[in-house]
Amino acid sequence: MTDDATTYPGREPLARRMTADAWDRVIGRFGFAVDRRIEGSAHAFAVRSSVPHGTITAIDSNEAKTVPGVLAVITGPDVRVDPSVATTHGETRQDQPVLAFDKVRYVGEPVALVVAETRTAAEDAAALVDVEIAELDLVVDHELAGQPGAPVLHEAWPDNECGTWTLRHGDAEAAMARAEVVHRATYRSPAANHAPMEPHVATAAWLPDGRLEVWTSTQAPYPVRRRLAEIFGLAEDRVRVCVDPLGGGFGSKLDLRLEALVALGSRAVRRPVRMELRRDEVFVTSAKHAATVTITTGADRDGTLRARIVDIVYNGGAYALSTPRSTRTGMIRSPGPYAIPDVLCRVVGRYTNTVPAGPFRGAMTGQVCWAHESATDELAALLGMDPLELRMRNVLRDGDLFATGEAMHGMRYRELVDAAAKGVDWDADAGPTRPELARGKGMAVVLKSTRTPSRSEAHIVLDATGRVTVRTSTVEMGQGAHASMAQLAAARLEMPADDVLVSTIDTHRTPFDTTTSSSRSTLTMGTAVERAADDLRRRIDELATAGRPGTAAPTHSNGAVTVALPEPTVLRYEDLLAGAGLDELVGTGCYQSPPGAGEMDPETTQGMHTVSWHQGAVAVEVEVDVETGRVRVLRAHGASFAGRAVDERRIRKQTEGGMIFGLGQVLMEEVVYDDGQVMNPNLSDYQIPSILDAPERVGSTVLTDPDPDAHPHGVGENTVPPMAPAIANAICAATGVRIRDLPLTPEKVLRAIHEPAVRTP
Amino acid sequence: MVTFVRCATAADAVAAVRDGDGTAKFVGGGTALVLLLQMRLVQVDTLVGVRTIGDVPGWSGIEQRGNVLWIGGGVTLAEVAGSALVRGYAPSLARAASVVGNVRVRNAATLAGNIAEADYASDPPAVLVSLDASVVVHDGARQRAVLARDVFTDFYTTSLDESDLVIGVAVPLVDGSVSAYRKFASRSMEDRPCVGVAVSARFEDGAVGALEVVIGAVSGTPQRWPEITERAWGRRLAAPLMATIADRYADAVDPIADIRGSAWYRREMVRVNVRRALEEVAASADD
Amino acid sequence: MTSVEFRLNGAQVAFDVAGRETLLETLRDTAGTTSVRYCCGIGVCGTCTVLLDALPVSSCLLLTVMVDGRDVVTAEGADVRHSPVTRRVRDAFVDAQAYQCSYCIPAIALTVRGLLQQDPEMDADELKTALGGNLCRCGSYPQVLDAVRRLVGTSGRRGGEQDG
Repeated sequence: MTDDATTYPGREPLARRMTADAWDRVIGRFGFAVDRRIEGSAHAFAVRSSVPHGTITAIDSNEAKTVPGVLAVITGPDVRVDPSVATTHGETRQDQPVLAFDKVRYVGEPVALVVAETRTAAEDAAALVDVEIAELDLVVDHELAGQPGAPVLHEAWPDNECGTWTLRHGDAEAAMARAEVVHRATYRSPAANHAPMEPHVATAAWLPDGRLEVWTSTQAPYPVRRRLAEIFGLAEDRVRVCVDPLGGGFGSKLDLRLEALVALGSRAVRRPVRMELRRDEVFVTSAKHAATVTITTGADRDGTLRARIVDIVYNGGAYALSTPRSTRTGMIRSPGPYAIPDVLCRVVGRYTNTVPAGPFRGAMTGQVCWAHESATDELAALLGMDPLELRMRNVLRDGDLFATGEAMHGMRYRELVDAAAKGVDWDADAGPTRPELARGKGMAVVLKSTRTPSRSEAHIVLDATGRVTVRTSTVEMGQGAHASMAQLAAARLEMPADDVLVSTIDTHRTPFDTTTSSSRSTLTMGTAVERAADDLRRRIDELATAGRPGTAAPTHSNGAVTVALPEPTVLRYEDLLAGAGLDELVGTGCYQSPPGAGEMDPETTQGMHTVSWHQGAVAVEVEVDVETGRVRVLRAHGASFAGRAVDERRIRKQTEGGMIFGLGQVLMEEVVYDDGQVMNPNLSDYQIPSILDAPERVGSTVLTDPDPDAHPHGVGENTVPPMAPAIANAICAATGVRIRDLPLTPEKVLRAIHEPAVRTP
Repeated sequence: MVTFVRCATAADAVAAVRDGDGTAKFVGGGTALVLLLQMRLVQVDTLVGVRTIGDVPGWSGIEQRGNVLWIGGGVTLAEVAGSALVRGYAPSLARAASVVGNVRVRNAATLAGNIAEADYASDPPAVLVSLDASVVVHDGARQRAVLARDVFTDFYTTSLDESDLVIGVAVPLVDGSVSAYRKFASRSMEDRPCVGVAVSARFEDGAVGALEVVIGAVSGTPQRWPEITERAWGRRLAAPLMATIADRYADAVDPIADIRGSAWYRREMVRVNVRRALEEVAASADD
Repeated sequence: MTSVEFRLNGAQVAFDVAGRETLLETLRDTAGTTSVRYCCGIGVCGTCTVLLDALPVSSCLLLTVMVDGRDVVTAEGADVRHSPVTRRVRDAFVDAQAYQCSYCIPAIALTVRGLLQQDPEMDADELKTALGGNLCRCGSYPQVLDAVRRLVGTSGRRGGEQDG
């Protein structure tokens, strides 16, 4: 491919690359899902509802069908009468149609699909499909959606209920009544968009015998396979899902997205059909849950936390997706990483006429961390304590009981708090600055958990040429999972990581994995890969020592074994296979969470919640222009516990990148609704941080577990949720103002600074 | 169907737009027009390419013509921002050109196109008004100059005919004048302005000889109140005077509300940024 | 359809394009230069950057008919032998591991290369300011800055006021 060595003799031939794809990524040759082209594909474009809530009365696609190149127009009512397609589908509730047929429930909901020879023709024709909708009352706000008389989205859920849970640990109400100091406040956060750089894309093709093949930008290949099988009434093995690397996911590509649409389109035109979203469509395809969290904390005057009561309302949007399940996860994390004897948490999700909400990097946790970490600082102020000291006093330590009743182990919070604080010179005075600029420091900690139960399987194939390939269904989306898998396999086989290939995902070849989500891959798939590598090594050893019982186990190096025969003899892997007449040798490995893990008491949510708790802390220094309210984050330092670290540079990129990602939701990101319409579905009106918004100084601390048998901890999300409270706490330290609704725009900051002098318009 | 015609003369370009009878538009860098086409917000059959015009003296150049700084119709914003002449004589214009969009937009978009687009949330219009610049247009038969402050009439609307080709901008050069432009963004540093403040001033013996303050991005057109600034003439630009002007401007402005800020916030930002821009100008006069 | 000819990465190419077709569409869908990527479609994110007559521009804001006769270079542009700057930029990004998902990275590296070819004296602060218009959702900015500093050092051209 490249002629690096000959052009630039003397340079390291990319041995430093570790991730063998570095060069391709930089010059642009690395292939993404969007680069997958299936020959002969037609193109689909969705007709979307322009009404947030209404009843479809008529759809006229005659004019659209006259556009040159149009092959088919499929409408919701067409699908509804098709017995071979499930009327509705859903991960937790069967509440969502592939194409809306009776009601529309959010602006952007697909109502019809146009398939044409070109994307332009499909897009032009889609604009000509006339959808008549009788408008119904709408509700966008999740708090209003729970009030009596609110518009109802789904008849089966008359209170717009979408996930209700309670956690009861001790008697929080009684303990609160006894507490010496009580703090109570409500914190709000808006819907946000994941805004992965690569838009969602999918191509489907039906084979003549009725099998379905899909290439898609998903983080969840196997769930997509199952859902497509359910929708089209197929055995799962008749559906094949292939996934190329993604240009970012952040949770937006977890649920079924475009896959059923392109499958419908392909079946109609008997050709492969491709769909690639326009940016405005990305904005109506996934969202972060807006949320309102009221948190009440009781403490002794010395700062010992005694009780916490948390009430959470999540905005689930128009369809359930994972909300009925994930609301519980958010609730469990809502007390924060503190030892509190008595805890009561209540959560409810609500349907609203907004884009269906799903996991968003730091899933369901950003909303509650925003609350508990702001509250911690507010309580510290009430107590007259240093917020850092209050955290040090109460953070979970080994043996402490968490709110789920679990005794916690491997707790490193005190070190994390210390590292984050040191990272911003916590005790040092702010340097000299102009009078209109105020500086302050803030900090926040977070407790996250990985999805449980879950399962990951890996195969490692040694082929006849001696090449080692990891077959995994973990999706590479920028987190470096494939590089980590290569590294883990290589370590067990004692060969260079660059010599291990990692396959792309194909459910016909790569084995089962729950999802690529919740920072689980390094632990679960990593374990499966290590076990597969051990299994492969054992099989290689058997070949090398076959017929020589009692021979010592061979040593491995660089794709060869050394066997005492009795003289040490080096045998290359490929020669071993050839000698045994084998075309390939396969090692298999599986990670399965232990029985009972993740099962919680349905009434009290007590039990073992997760196989792995994620621990993180962030500290920042901000500068507030008190005349404009503009906030600059000067410094940010993230600290994360990585357990057994696989690659420190990748961990730092996750830790530091996570803070910059999180900064966006703090300072500028909000999906703005007006009368049910998304007002800012583009990257000019919905802004994400640029390099000029990133803190001038970004640092990270990676805490590790030196035990070679320790398991790795997920680090992909640990610094996202704490950014909001850390910055709000720093703003408060700088200016004395406390803001409890995100994002922390200059206007909100300035209003707070002016109050009560300001006249609100 | 969209066709693209590449024009060698100003007269050809004007004729092509006139012949298009509403369906033809001039295109320079194309950054604004292609966006509108993509969003299907304009119906255009003919794009009249003006980059290649060769018969307008100084079309692609920035030059001093006596007491006027000339910026040709083919000059990009990046060229304006990087020009030593503009930086020296009209630093506020160089500054404004350097903060429009991003490096790619500035490499493609022309100052002339920026004027013709009349985007309320763009930076150069307020500056051009503050510098008392003229926009020179060619209507196929002859040229005429229109004061920038008479060009911008409403959101995305100018007083120019659609077949008037902007062939250049003339900025008067006044001895001893100083200028500044402050772009205030309320979200990302990369955002378009929430408020833009352009100040141009001339000092005589430490006193204000002339003063212009023009506000951008707060309503459909650049806003100025000469009756406020004229009161500063003959006085030293000291802190109380600057604060007074800033307060008067904040009172006078009738700001829009959008995603970058409410009317209340924009008014406050006018107050702060007018004062800061005046301070900047006063400081540069002291140098 | 209109016939358009231009230079693409040093080679003369010709395409028949629809009038409304953007250069981004032509490059991706017809020319196969997949380093040029769609993201925002409105010129704000930078993932579709190309060098047009050596200057970085957004290919989503250009109709292909407008580049007739001009010179277009994409991140793939294989001019390594002739352009030490290209090679240095690529090495710096690889050495700094300046990527996560990397969807935006070729365009960022191409922008740096275009800027440095235009003005070899640009310092790290100036390059950072110029990169304000290249978005990276993964937040690889610290690593991108590391790459930039590997390229041009940390001392500013005007005496600089670097932190750290």
